[in-house]
Amino acid sequence: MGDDLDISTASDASGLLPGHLGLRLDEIFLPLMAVHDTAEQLDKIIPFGHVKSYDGMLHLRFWPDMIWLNGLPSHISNHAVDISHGMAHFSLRGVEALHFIAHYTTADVFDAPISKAQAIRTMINHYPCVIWWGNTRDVHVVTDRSLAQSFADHLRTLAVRHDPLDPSTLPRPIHPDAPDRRG
Amino acid sequence: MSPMPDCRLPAGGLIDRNITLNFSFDGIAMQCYSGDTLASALLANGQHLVARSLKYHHPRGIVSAGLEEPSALVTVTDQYGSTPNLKVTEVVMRDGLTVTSQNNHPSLKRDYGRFLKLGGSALSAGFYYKTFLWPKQAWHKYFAPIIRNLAGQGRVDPTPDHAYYDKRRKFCDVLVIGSGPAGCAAALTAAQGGATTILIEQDHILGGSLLYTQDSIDGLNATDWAADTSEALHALSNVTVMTRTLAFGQYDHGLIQAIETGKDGDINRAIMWKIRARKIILATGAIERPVVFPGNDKPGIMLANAVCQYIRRFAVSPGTRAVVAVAAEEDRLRAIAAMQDAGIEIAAILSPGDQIISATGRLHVNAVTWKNDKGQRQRTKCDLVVMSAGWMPTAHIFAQMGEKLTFHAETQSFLPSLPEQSHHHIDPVGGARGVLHMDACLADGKASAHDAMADFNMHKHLDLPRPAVAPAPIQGFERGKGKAFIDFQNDVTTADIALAQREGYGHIELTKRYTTLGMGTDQGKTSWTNGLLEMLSISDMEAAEIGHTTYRPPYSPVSIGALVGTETGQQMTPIRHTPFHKGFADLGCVFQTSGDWLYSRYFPQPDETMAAAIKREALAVRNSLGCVDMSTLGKIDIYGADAMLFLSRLYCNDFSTLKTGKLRYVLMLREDGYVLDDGTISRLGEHHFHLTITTANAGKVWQYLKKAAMVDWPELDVTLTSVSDQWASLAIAGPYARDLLSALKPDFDVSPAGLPFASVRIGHLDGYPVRVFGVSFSGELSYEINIPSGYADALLSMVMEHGKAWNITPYGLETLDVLRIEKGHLSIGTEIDGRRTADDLGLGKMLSRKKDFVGRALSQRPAMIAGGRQQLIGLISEQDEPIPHAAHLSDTELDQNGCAESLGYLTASIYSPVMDHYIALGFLKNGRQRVGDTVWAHSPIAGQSIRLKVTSSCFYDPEGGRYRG
Repeated sequence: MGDDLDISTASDASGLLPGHLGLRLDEIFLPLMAVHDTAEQLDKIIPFGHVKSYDGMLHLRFWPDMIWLNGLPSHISNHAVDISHGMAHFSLRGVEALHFIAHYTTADVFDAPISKAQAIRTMINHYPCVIWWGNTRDVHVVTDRSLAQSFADHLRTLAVRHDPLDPSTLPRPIHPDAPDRRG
Repeated sequence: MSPMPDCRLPAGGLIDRNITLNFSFDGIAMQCYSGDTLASALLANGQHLVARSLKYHHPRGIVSAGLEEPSALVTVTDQYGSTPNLKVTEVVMRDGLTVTSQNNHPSLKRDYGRFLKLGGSALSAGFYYKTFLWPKQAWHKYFAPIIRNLAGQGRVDPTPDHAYYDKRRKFCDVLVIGSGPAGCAAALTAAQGGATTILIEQDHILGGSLLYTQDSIDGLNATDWAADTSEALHALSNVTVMTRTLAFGQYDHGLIQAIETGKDGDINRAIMWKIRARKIILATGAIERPVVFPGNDKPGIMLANAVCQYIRRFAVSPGTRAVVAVAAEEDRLRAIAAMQDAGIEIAAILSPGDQIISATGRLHVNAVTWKNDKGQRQRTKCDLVVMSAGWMPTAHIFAQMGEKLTFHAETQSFLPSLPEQSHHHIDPVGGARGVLHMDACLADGKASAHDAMADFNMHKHLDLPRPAVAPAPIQGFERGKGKAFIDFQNDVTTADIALAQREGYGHIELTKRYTTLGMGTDQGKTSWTNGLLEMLSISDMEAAEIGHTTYRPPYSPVSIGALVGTETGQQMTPIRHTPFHKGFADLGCVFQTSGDWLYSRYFPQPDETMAAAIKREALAVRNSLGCVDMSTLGKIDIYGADAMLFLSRLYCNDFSTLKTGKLRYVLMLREDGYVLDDGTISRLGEHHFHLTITTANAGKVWQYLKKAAMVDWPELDVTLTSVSDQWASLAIAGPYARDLLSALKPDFDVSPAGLPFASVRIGHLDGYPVRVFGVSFSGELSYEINIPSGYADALLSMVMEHGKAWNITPYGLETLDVLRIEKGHLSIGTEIDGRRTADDLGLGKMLSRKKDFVGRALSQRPAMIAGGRQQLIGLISEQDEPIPHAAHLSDTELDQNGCAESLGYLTASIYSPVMDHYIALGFLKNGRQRVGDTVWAHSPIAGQSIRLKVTSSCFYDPEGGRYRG
């Protein structure tokens, strides 16, 4: 890869989304290599459905026989395919970032196994995505490069439809006088 | 004009008398209070006449207080525009609404349509199957326009709807639908047990029947208990309360879809929610059943429960002097108490078993005549008739997934059928399964919630008994002779039901469609059970035999806007952009959608037509140099020791001798032997291949390859990686293509020997990493330059800059199609349409005889290799006239009936710039043997028949010298 060469972004996502939520969407180039191996071998590196950082390198495992790496460790001799330019990586930041996305994912990102892994491969409405987050205010989304502009436009369309204090947004603030009625 | 009578009670009700709202009905200004529905607002202003019925244009009023309202449909206009066919009972009042009645002319009171009643039995059920038959010509000219003007309810507002809508998802452990006593109890119990709970209620406040009953719960009156429960639920962090939210459909795996209607000030007019729950508790209550008697459709005749609601909840008196015809004693006493509290005089109380002869009145009921149990005929004046024949569970959502409701004689209603030993995914409780008494409803909701927690293996669950259903009144009311309505909305009478039985439409599905019973927007909520009972009284069948028709969503009409959400205009579906999109847009490209993609179509110069642009672009490629975006092709990286074996099994031609740096055109068959796709395989290394797939089949073939690798042949050492978006692909084509490639500073040999046709090189162009494929779709010398997509802009700039020396011309899909047709190259969807063998396409020799491959066996079936098949050929117009698209080919002219034997058809038809002639591709029976013949091309659509000469499918450079350079 030509390190000195300028890489064009796939979308114009750079800055605040419209609407009251104050979310920020930026497209940031993320080098990605796809590496294949047997499921048993990949399980030794990272469990299925997880995102982890090892040796400063992001590992994403959402396929039984393939892992995405943010770089190429020297100890990996498997055939690695550069897919950096084929995917568009977005950073969505703000107080309501994950809750905003959660309204539109096919999977429940707050379901126990997923919220523990803090990662999921799912659909955001009609867009296939890989999503991971360190906290609910900083969400990463990767989708096909060819869908990037359409995806950014779609998030703008969705963001403008949220009221500033949407009562149906998760999680709801706990009433200060609410008794503890959990089982 | 005399002032509108004020029917508002001086005190009481759950309305806010401090907030006055203004609205109009048919141009008459009215007022109401915050908390009113349109129904209570109209009644408070003394407006009972609200609509005209569909067929007979009978005057109609408000029958109920909920979504079951069959008659009172109006058009409501607000800041968003007009919405027709809204039930007055479902509209929560806001300031400034303009309400207009429907289905009348010139006015509601003096509707001309009222004279339709003179048609008598001529307008009975199914009359339109027996009338308007003669004279035949009169149908389109006279009958149809008249019927169209008379038919239907409201009118659609044609102005664009600029309101915001959205579609969102939620997940929970327990979803409770309905917030009456059973629903509140269920939600509270589930939430206290720790389950994530969502409670949805279609009204704007929680409580359901608790809002107008005089009962007490835990020492509180029911309304206060409902308010207290609402506050408690809002305070719990594991509960989401959604009011103004109508659950309208149940779908697979615990999915409920609901529409939340926005309040004033909300950004969205409506939100469609997809809620997936582990357990659904259906607490939607029950619907009161009307009494069937002659004249039962007049304004002022209302359901007993509705009367109680209007009095208790809305502080509205629906009348001054009432006749009570309520079958169940408890319901009767409740209604009488409410009316007495409202100061309504009780003129008569009918007993079950009495025979109701008729209700009379022109625009409003003014008297009822009946015979008592002694046979004595009695009559009294009145302006209100309070009726009830019993209750029907609102179990529609339960039944939408195909579950059956069973008719129970004990309750005289359809009840949900639940297996005794298992816990269902959806559990009807309270009125929704026939439990009517409030204490029993509370207990039922609580028990269901505990059952849910047991299903989840949550601690703190109890095994509580489920209350019994409430029996129906032993006896109902008899009726006299005359027009008695069963379905108010579609004007279906008892006579119509009887007619359907006599004429042989006795099956429930036929009765429904022949009479239109239950087919209105109310979906038979107040009519279906009465219709069944009427059928039972006429026929010899049992209720179980008759059954019910299919329940389908939506439970109540929902707006199209809410169903669409954001998916309109540019947001209708995801759009894929190629990496060259912006660069081509800057060059003036006109784009078109092609599947998911936004594809470059052509590049017009100022004032240039599309045809002129295509001609210019095509000649530029043929004579000089052009460039086109090929990025939409599917691309797959294939690697492994068994990669060659894997590909050999999937593609029919032999490429076992393919060397590194070479590529081959390949053909893929389906298992049944027909051609599925074509593409190229390039060998990048001993175990490394790059596969291209057509744009149209990219997704399908990718899935097919993945399944083959993971499921069919998992033992093969092969890995597949989709790199379709990784590589941007720009083809440069024309006699000067190699010159341009040389000018782009390649670090590899691009001479004819260094980069011949059907080869691939990996290297750099001016420092940018590329793969360059020597391949041609246009028929000219051509190179497809693949570059990582992030560098696409740079590549296009370089190509356009250096290409100026040869007047480089960008071209699009239109020109690409022209060039490939001149060359006779195949395209998916036209020549490769899923019905062609390789030999049909002239590629029969590609089928390898040395190996097995998918599709080989069935491609040898007799019919696939028999003579007489349609084969790909070219055609030119003898008179050089335009060739009609998709024309059929025949040896004969059309006969006097406009028919001829079809021997084939056209797949492509263009004007060829390089040949300056009209040409076409097509399939013709034994086509290859008929080169030189002349045939007819007939197009009934274009109304043309022309003569064409059969040629080879390759019109241009058949020797291939030009693309080999």
